[in-house]
Amino acid sequence: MPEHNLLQSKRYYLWSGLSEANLICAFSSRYLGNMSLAYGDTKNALKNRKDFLGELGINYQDLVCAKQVHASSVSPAKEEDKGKGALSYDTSIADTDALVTDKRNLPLAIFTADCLSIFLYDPETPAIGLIHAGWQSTRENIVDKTLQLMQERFNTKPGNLYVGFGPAIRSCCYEVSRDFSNFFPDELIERDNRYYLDLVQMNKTRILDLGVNPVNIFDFNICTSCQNEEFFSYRREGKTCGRVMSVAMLKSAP
Amino acid sequence: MKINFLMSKYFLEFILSIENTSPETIKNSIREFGDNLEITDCNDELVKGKNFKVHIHTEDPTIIFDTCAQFGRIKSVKIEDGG
Repeated sequence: MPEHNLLQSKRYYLWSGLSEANLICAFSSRYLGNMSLAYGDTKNALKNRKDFLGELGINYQDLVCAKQVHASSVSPAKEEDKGKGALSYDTSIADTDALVTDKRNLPLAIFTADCLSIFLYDPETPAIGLIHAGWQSTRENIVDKTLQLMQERFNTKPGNLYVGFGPAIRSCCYEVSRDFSNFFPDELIERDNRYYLDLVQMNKTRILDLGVNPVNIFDFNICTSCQNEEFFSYRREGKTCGRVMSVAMLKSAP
Repeated sequence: MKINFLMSKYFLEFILSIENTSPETIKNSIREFGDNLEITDCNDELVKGKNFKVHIHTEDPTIIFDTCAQFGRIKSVKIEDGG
């Protein structure tokens, strides 16, 4: 297996260990602009998507997007879903925070600013999953539900799975109120009478519980708040904040 | 580099007039930004939409307003310095 790291152009990051496997897993930086058709300054979003996806060899009109609602519904993306949400937000798959597919040339997209994106790759089927994991979806155990659906649909074995964590606000900066101890009694981090969440660690714990091999889990350690010049952060920017795109696609067999 | 929110707490209270969002969704959207969050129904039959009184102690009122403004109209704002 090739080395797993992020190839960084100035404009986006590509998970390089998987490129040879006919798979694209990548996320944009804010240097490519806002990728959302619903949040932030949306007027250049289609052009920004075209620029980003064009560099990866993906047709931006094929994109499958979700109306992310901070819950834990997972949708299987089928051939007929190609292009849903690609050109307008309204046509995105409703009430969905994770997408899975075994179809080739079907690019899945998740949009984030502080929330975590999680890439799943089953090389045996092959199949992929892409998750939008904020605290609410994490609390509802969205990784478990996504892997369950991949097991049902694609016979994915957790032992084969590769997992990559995209950008997110990290525990250095993700301060929350104390009453989060009601939701995450064992996972709330206390420092100097302030309380923090570690979205990556919480999801990692759940993924390990499902039987994923720890050597197949990759954390690229990007904090959207610390690296705000490069990523959007809702905490830092509020309502004008745009979104970066995480995208995953199985390419045609060579 | 870590940026702390403003250190002083503000006691924030306002009416949020919403049409299609549940109070639970509002709660879950802002609870990470403050303590003592309460959302109470204060509907008046004469008022269009649903009115809820939002109360929260926060160091960052702007992000509360930004987030709530995505769901509806903010009215009757009261802010007290909580020290």
